[in-house]
Amino acid sequence: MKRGQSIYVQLVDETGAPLPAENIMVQIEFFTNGNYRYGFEAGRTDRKGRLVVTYDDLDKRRAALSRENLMDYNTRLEECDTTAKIVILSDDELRSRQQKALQFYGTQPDWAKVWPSNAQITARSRTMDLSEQTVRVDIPAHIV
Amino acid sequence: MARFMTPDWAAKPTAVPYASFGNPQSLNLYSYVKDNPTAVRDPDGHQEDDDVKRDENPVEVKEDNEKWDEAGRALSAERYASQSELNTRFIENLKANGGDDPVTGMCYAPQSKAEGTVTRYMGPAEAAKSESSGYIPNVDPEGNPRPTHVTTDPPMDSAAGAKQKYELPTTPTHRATVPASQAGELGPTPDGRPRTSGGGSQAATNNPIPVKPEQIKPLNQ
Repeated sequence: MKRGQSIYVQLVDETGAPLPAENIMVQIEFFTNGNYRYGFEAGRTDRKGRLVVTYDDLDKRRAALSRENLMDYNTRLEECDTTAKIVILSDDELRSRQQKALQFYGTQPDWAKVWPSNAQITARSRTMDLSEQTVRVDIPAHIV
Repeated sequence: MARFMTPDWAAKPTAVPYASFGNPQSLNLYSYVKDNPTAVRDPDGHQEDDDVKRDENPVEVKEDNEKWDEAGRALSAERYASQSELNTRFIENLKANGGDDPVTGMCYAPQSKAEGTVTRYMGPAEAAKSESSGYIPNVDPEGNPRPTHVTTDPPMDSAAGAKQKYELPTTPTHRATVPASQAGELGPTPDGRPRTSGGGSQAATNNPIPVKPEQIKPLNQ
């Protein structure tokens, strides 16, 4: 991902029309040499089912994690592959991550304080090419 | 054969053979059908297709080595076997001693060092959490998975030295040093660039690393 870059995420239904699903937590995953490198919560969708993710937001998150885990986040976003992945975690996956955070850190993850509405939809992951400065990605999803 | 090289990769995408880590020969991007051209062929340049006959009149494979020699094919087969063995030895050597595979770009952590100890440098928060949970986590505080990086170098007690050597964003306060066998399955770092991703001789595991409180030591500041 490049400095100043923005990613526009939109949930869409099977016809490609915007899916107005709010409070859906969106993950973004980065890779190096095709290997999973790290992933963050990119944010939550608004009531129109959209989310804007910026380089600055993600880099702040990476830098914060880098100060917490000194050896694990030193690969900068711009050093990662130009292909990244947008993932909508299922409710079960969210609970699993919450459990792991509790097990290893003894505290609730921040995102779990207001539980995401991911259980309301099912969605497919999408890989995206980050070579353009502005990236638009539609996530096919449907209300359960 | 769809496999050829071009100096300008961006200009002309070419078929790249699929690799299987279970078969080191498959990591050699320059071999053809894993050096078994008499039995199989590779129609698209990605992998061998043993369902496709090589041609309508396949070469008769003779059991008698002398006749092979006379026909010149035994030599060819030996050469294939020899090359395959060399490739296998090359990969085994990389795995044992560490280094970069110039063909695949894979970076191997030195196995001989991994048989000793691995060390992870930490800040105060991570040290405290590791001590209380008994693990160096394989997730971040939000529960997102991430490969846990360690170094196979001998442990350092100097905080400033570790910060400099491993290009850490802040000065570490502690280190956890555990036997490599305790660290589970160690592999190369995901970015395969040990000198830029935290520097030094690094490895990573996708598993949490069990750690005892006495294995976490404060560093000299």
